[in-house]
Amino acid sequence: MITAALPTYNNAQIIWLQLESLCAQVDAPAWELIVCEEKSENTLGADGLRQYADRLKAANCVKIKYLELSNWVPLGQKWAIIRDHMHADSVGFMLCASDNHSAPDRVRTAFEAMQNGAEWCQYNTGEFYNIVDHKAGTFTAPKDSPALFMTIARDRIQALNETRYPKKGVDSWLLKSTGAKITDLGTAKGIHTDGFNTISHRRRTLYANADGFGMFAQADENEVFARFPAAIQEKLLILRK
Amino acid sequence: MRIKVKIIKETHGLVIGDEKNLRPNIATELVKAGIAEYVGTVGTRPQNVVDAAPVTVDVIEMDEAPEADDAPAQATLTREYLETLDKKELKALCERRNVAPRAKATNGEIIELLLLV
Repeated sequence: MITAALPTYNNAQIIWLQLESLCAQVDAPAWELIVCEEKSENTLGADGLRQYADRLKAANCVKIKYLELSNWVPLGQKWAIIRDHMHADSVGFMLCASDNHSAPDRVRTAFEAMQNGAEWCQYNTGEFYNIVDHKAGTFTAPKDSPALFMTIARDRIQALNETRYPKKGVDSWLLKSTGAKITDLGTAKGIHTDGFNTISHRRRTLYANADGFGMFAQADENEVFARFPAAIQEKLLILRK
Repeated sequence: MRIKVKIIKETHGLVIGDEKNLRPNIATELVKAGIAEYVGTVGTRPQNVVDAAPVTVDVIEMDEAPEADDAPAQATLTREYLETLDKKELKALCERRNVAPRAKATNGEIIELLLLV
């Protein structure tokens, strides 16, 4: 079994994107989904998540948990809270974001990487698509840095024993704190999106600088958009309006 | 006097010599203009770290039966049904389902939003 960890906050308008992609997992081993959310004006809520339950189970998701937090906590602490609720049989911890669209083989690929001894697997390259602006960029991670669609081995995420959490640079902090060695899975088939992101300060900083500190190269937005399934494209167009 | 610039690794913010901070884009421009000198990378600033907050976690297992809801199940939330509701009823339904209706939403837009979730 492997764990899809999905922390979210104030993201009801976009979290369907990640959930839909998880419902579309193919040839997946047994996996669990843990959603962790604070109360806000714009929550998914347990009821919202429950509406996906049948389709998630059809995609071999054997356990779904919704963790409702009494007050806002930093993202790093949320990862730790989800970690504390991992199933005992889970071999890995997939970092999922509300506004990302995972490839249909994400669960299977991550599971296989963990089975093969990876401590931290990720895709060093992949596309970002801005829903609002209809723009796309190809991201390439700097050497030895966190990248896209990351998964952390169970023993590494369990090694995380912190009482202080960063407000920014959470991915880098996780990599450093877990002491995991990166396994690069190449180019991501899944797509990261932006425009409805309410968590990543770092991404905003990257976008705010024209050259994205060298991490982003221009990509064909129509080509990237076409990679979303037709039903997802329709919903993204509604959001763009 | 040339200003020394350090990139903060975690945030890509920049720190200027004499312990003075500048916004990243300003510091970048200073480097590009040759006024500032890039001297290296430092770690996360201490003020970027917060102590763990006390938090209560309510664990809801999706295998458990949902609480009773006087609205029809999602599968029966057809456009035809939603169009029978007035704005007030639609708003109440949105609230029960934790869907935030948009401030200027018309009935049609709320329906779209409900169908989306």
